[in-house]
Parts: sequence; C-alpha cells; structure tokens
Amino acid sequence: MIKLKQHSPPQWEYPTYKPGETVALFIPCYIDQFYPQIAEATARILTEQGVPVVFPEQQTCCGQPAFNSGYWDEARKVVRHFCEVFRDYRWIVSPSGSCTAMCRVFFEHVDADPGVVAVGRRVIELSEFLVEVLGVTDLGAYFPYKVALHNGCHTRRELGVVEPPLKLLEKIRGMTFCELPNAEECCGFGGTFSVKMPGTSLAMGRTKVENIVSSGAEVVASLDISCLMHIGGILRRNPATRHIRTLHLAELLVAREETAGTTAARTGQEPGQRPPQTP
Amino acid sequence: MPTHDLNLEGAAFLKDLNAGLYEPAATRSLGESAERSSKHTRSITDAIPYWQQWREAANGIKSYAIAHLDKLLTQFESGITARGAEVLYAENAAEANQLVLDIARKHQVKTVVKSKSMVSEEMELNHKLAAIGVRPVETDLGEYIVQLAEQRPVHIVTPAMHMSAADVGHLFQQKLGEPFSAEHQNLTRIARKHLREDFVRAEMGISGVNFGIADTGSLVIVENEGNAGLSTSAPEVHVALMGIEKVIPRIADLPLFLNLLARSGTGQKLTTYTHLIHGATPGRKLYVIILDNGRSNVLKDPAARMALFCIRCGACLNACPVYRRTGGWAYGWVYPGPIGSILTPHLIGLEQAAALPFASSLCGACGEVCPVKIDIPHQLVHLRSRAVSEPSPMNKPLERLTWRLWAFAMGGPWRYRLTMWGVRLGVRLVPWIAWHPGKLGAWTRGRELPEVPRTSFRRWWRNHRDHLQPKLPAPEQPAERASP
Amino acid sequence: MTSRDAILGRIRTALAADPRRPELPPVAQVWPHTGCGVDQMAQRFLAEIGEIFGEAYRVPSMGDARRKLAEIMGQEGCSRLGVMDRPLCRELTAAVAPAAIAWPQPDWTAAEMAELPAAVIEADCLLADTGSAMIACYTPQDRLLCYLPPTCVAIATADRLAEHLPAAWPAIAQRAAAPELRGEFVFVTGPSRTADIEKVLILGVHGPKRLVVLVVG
Repeated sequence: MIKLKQHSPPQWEYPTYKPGETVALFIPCYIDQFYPQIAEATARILTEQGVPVVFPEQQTCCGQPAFNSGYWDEARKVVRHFCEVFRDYRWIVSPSGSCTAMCRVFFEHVDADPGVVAVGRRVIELSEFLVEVLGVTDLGAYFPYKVALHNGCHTRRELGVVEPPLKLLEKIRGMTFCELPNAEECCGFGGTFSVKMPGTSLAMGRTKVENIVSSGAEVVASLDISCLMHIGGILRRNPATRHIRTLHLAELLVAREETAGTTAARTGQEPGQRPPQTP
Repeated sequence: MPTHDLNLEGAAFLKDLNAGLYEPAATRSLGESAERSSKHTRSITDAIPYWQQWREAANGIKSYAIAHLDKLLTQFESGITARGAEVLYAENAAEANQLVLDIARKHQVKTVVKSKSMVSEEMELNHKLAAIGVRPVETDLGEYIVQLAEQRPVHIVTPAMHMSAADVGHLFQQKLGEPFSAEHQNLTRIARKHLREDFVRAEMGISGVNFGIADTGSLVIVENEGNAGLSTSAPEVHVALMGIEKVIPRIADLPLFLNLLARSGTGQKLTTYTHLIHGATPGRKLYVIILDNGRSNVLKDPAARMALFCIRCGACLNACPVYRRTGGWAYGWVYPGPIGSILTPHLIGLEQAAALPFASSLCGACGEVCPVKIDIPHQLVHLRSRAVSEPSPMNKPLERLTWRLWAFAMGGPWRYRLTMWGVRLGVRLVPWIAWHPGKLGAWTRGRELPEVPRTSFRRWWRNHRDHLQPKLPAPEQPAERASP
Repeated sequence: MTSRDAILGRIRTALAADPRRPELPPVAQVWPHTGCGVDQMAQRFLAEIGEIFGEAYRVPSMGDARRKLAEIMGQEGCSRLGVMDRPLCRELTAAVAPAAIAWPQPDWTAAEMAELPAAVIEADCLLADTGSAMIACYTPQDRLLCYLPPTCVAIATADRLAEHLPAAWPAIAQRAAAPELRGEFVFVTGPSRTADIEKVLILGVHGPKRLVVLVVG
C-alpha cells in the first residue's frame, strides 16, 4: 500500500517492487476507447523494463465523473466493481494522473470500507511507478521536437506528481524542453465542467493555448490525456495552432530513432475532413 | 431560516448553468490583478520554511475553536463585558440591523463611519441606516469608491479592483465635484480630504472583527489605511460586528494567525495597523454584535465544519481561475470565489445557492493557498453531493437517472462495451450533424472532438498480450515470479 | 428565549451530535528565536522599516533624538506637536517650546486633534523583523494621535527591540490579559497605505504619510 508521507504538497512512501512482480494495468475508459495507443505504449514500456503486465478485462471505470458530480451512491457502485477487479493485484499502474488520484485519494470519501481504500492505495501513475518505484528515468527514447509539459491539476495537487515526468523528459534524446508559462493554472477541462460551463472552460483553455504558443512548443505532453482532449480540441479548432500536437508522455517514451516520423502519423489527431466510419 | 435574496443580477453564470452557455465577463484588469496578487503571495510563502507547519497549526486551532464554539463565545462575551463592552447577539441580518438602528437612535447618530465589514454586507446595513436618515460612509478607499459608484464590491480585500484610475477620476468629479484627475496620488488625497471631515464629525463608527480572543476578551482588527483606527476611536460609539466563527481560544494564538493572514491577504509580513483592542476605551462606548446569520447551519453538517475556519484573507479568490474570469459579482452574494461557493449554500440555503459549488473545475488552487488549510475542493464536491440529493435546483431526476444508467453501464465489462460502442458511434456521427443542440454544442462550440480510433485497447490487448514478453533479467539473477 | 440562548443552544445541539472532540493544540512556535543582539536587531529594524517606506534613526543619546525631532519639525514646517503624556515623549520634547506642544486633554475632540500637524508617541516595543512599533494607547486621544496627524514620530529605547512578534509576545500577552486594561495596543508597521486604485501603492491615505521611529541607545 502506498502511504501518505506528507499532505502539502503531497508526498508518498512507495512499497518496494520485487523484480518479476506482475503489474495490473488500469486503463481509463477514454484511453481504452479513444487513445488506445497510450495504453499500448504503457504496456510496452513496462514490459521493456522487465515488468510482466496483465490487463484485467473486467475493468470499467474508477467512478470519478459520478463522484465529482455529486452522485456518490452511483460512484460507489462503480468503485466497488473496480475493487472487485483489482483486489488481488499488489501493483496497479495507470497512465492517468487524475484517475490515479481518484483511486488513491478519493476512494475513502466514496466508501470507507478498508478493503476499498486499500485497493485504491495500490494504484500508481505510470511516471510515478517508473521513477519512484523502479528508479528508471532513461528509457532510450528519441523524440526530436520542442515539447512542453502540461500538468493536470489533480496530478499536481492531489498526487503531487511533478518531478517524475520532468525526470523522464530530461532523458529523451533530441528533445527540446519548453517551459510553459503559468503552468500551474488549470486548463479548464475539469471533467463535466467543460460542458456545464463551456464559456469559462473555453476561456481557461484559450489562456492555456496562448501560454503554449508563447512557449514555442510543437508538442504538448502530459500525464493526463483528459486535459489534452480539451486543450487539443482548442488547438485543432484554430488553423493557426493546428500544427501543435498533443501526446501522452507514454507516447514520447516509446518513440525511437527508427520510428521517428511515424510517431507523428500515429497520434491520430488529424484535423480537417474525416470520412464517416462504420462503427 | 434567514431570508436573503441571491442577487442574480451579476450571477449570469449561475442562471445559465443549465444552458451552459455563459461567457465569462470579468474585465481583464480584475483577472490580471488577482493573478499578480496570487503570484506575489506565492513567492513569499514559498520562501518561508515553516509555512506548511503554520497552516497545519492554524487548522488545528480553528478545529478546536469551532468544536468548542459555544464555550469560547461565552468566555469571550464575559471577558469583553468585564472590559466595559456591551455584547449583543443577533440570529440573523434583520435582528442585527435592528440592534444597530436602536443604538444609532439611542446615541442620536447622524453620520456613521464604517471600516470594512463583510458581515455588514450580509446585513445590507447601509440601506437600513439610510432609511432612518443616518448617513453611512464607507471609509476603506475601495469601499468608498464602490459606495459612491453605487456598486457592490468585487473582491473582499480590494473592493474596487475592477475600476481604472480614470474611472475613479470621473466618479469623484461626478459625485464629489472635484476636478478630474486620473493620478493615483491626487485621487487618494481627494478621498482623504472628504473622509477626514466624516471621521471627525461622525457619532458612530462601525467595524468588523478579524479575531475575537476568548481568554482575554479582546478584539483584533487588521488594516492598512488607518480608517479602522479612525472609525473606531474618533466617534463616541464603536459598534463591532462579529460572526460567531471569528473567536479564537487564546491570545497566545494571535502571532500565528497574524503571520498567516497578512501574507495570504496582501502579501505583507504584517498589515500597517494591527489593533488589539482591550474592550471599551474610557470616554467611548463599545458594542459588540455577535451574528449567526446561518453560520450555525454549517455546524449541522459535520463534513462541512471547516468552512467556518475561514479568516477572510481572499487568497482563494486570487488563486481561482474561474473567479479571475467571472469576477466578484458573478457569485450573486456577499462572498465571491471559492469561499463563497462553500459558504453561501450554508448561509442562505441550497434552494438558492446550489449552483455555486458547480462553478469550479476542481483544480485545487484554492485549497493549496488557504492559510487555515480548508480543503475547499472537497467541500465543493461534498456540497455537490448534497445539492443533487436534497431539495435544490440542482436536484434533477433526469440527471440522476442518467448517472444511474451510467453506473449500471460501468458495472460490468459487457455493459461497458455496449455503452462505449454507442459513445463511439455518437462521436463519429457528431461532425455530420450541422446543428449541435444543448450539451453537445457545449463541447463543439470551441473545440474539435477527438478522433475515434479503429480499435480499442481491449481488442489490441487480446491480440497482442501473448507477444508481450518482458525482458527478463540475466540468468545469474533468477527471476522470482511472485504470484498476484 | 433570547437570541443569545437560541444561538448558543443551536450551536450546542449541533456540536453534541458530532462525536469528534479535537484537543487544544499547543501554542505554535511561529518563528525560531535566534537570540540575536541589540545591534543586529536595530540594523534589521532599520532595514525593514525602510522597505515599507517608514523611516527610523538610531541615535546614541536623547540629545541627538531631540535634534532629529527639530529637524523633522523644520522639514514639515510644524509649529505644533501633539505629544503623548509618557516619560520618553516628555524627554524627547524637553527642548521644544511649551507653546508648540499640545498635551491632549480628555475632552479633546477628534476635530480639534485633526488640526495637529504632527504627533509624538511612545513605542513600548519594536519588532525587528517587520519594522513595527507597538504603541500602548489608553485613551481615545492616545489612539487618535497615532492616526490623525499626517506626520508621526515614535520614540523608543534600543532595549525595547525584540526579534519578532513571537519573541515579544509573552510580555505583551501578559499585559493584554490584565482585566483592568483599556484602550488598545496598536502595532504600527510603516505609514498608512492603500493599493485600492489599480493596485498602485499610495502612502498616507487616512493615517500618517510620514512615520519616523527614533531609537535611542
């Protein structure tokens, strides 16, 4: 179980990983359905580090949207299912900071049952796992672009995960790091906030985009593709910023010299005309 | 139950919560001002190695204080009464107003000088005084300006943050008959001149209270301008308005709170004037009016208790990206920003204020800066859970049904996959619908939708899992396959 | 039932329903005490008060302080001083013509005191880390002297310097606890200021524009 060492800013104490221990992948629904390449990258990254991974196929969701909207009874049902699915795994790794925060920090508000809380406390975000648990920062990645890092608010303030992605980015060869001004200001996604208060959400997102543009970045990376869904949506709406791509950090970490160029094509966020697809 | 009118004049973003199409309207200068204050304070507090310990300690003291509120109030009351003050209790704004008017009549008051008091805003005291022919004069420069402009304050620390110097110049020209100037020194001099006349002639001064100290029976007021010092010492009568939650246990606790408040509020080490008032000054009369006005409602909700820890510093406002864009009037009542969102629903009821806790992206910037460590984000989500299940405009059966269906869908892998199939279909079809109604239009008004990939991760996993071979360590170190 | 009873009753009922009983935490140690000497504190005090646009001068003797006061009166063109009736204030103004000194009377109104161009007040305590002066006011006139006149001169001896508020606090708190005490202790940290218009800092909005602290010894 991951223990809270300090509350502000959050600091955690991680158990020791025994080589060969299996890691269960917790893949949030929107990554499973809309950004599978992130989950693929996550699986590959861990496998390459000698970590056996499994994907418990019964998994669905961590319950965050219902919890944040105040529907705690409904959230509890989903959280209980989550715990059923992941109960037997000592390590649960997720490529989402905000979903990890939901599990590790907020499960206890939804359900005080110690079993539920205990499962939640075993969920760890990918960059946390790599840097703080495995002690790995250099994955041999090559990504010759100008990259800015966007920190999701829950990842920053509830999990306190700020250093690990920076340490991982530092080791990516060919990459130029662009400092994002006002990095700590919320991008305006906030889950249902983005559709409940779209005016304010967009205003915040546009400020974030202005800051991205001024940083000179060609790519915005993050541990939270949920934020990037919103930021990327704004970037692609405007022809002037359409060229700036949004990628999950995991996608950068699997980029190699041999595959440079194809990563760009594989991000799948192409603007413009989209042909109708049969479901 | 106190009756208040949530003034939706400026709360457009609340009215439109259901339509979801509110465009933020705060003037840029207010947002930039708030941002600058926030950054300045942040750089100061980051440089103090004890800052987190201070927050923790203050939280502990407030926790004790609120848990023993009745004892501390009575202790405070007897202490300050022994020091010559007259202590009165008011359940609500109407009673408090009545008490003040009675005091004004008793002392034949014609002019009142007021230093900043948020409680008096809750009471709408100025209107009540004016109605009986007593002239209330706001003496804090920002409050003076908004009073002349007949506007409400936009920020609890900097009330006229939305106005430019030129705006103030025009205002002074129009209302005070002064020649136009947009020069800050001049404008301040004009205000000083006019207000000095009021200070010396007023029969009564009204102030707020930052802290009521229980063990000594003292009042603490902090300020920078000197107007509170003058308002409370020049007139014959001083009326101090205090919310029930303002009492702290010991005078020994004061240095901690002063260090937190000055920095969080204005980025200072100490405010220019910190008044430790020991009861009534000989030759002057002191009344202390202790006001509930819905605060005891917070106590009925054990999870919400920390909302009463607030020391009214304004740091959460400055840090909030929503406040910076929507401004101080948007929250409809006296307290804007994050603290407004977690306090107003208790003070005036969920029936009126339920929308406020939803006006947040839950970024947590507020909770991070709160000097008494109120977990504001959690208070917001807690109030949301109350709002959707108790009588309130946010309690919508159709919405609840949707979330019930969602929970059902997320309850098992097959239901999940079916639901996601529908979602993917919907997202694919959306670009081909020219007109996006309601919530869907909310996303696409300013953003592209994500691409729908050909395959989900689940499917990929099923096809690839056997090919994923972890690079096992070299044979010298045999791998230990721990069972899950 | 009075409002008092209703409010206290409501509070008691609500609290009784909650099993949590937090303990009273020990008094927080806000800043560490380094035990630094008078010279160091004086230096710090001068620097800090300068940061906030106040003035302070450390002088070896009361005679030097009197000369400084005369200088200030000359600079401001003051023909009259409102002087607090305290020992150090009497010493400081010993060389000033009696006609120029106004000793505030109990029946003095604020309107009369508003005519005073300058005040001389006594600081019981000086805080080095913030450049603050603590003034003990026992009467309305004491209080008004701190706020009304546009120029304010505070006198203290160097042995009244304390490192910071927590260091000075035990003595101050003890005085404040005395039940017969009236008036206020006001901690003055620089001249009156506001940033209410466009967040531009302006001095002397209602209180003194010029604050001078004279530290003797």
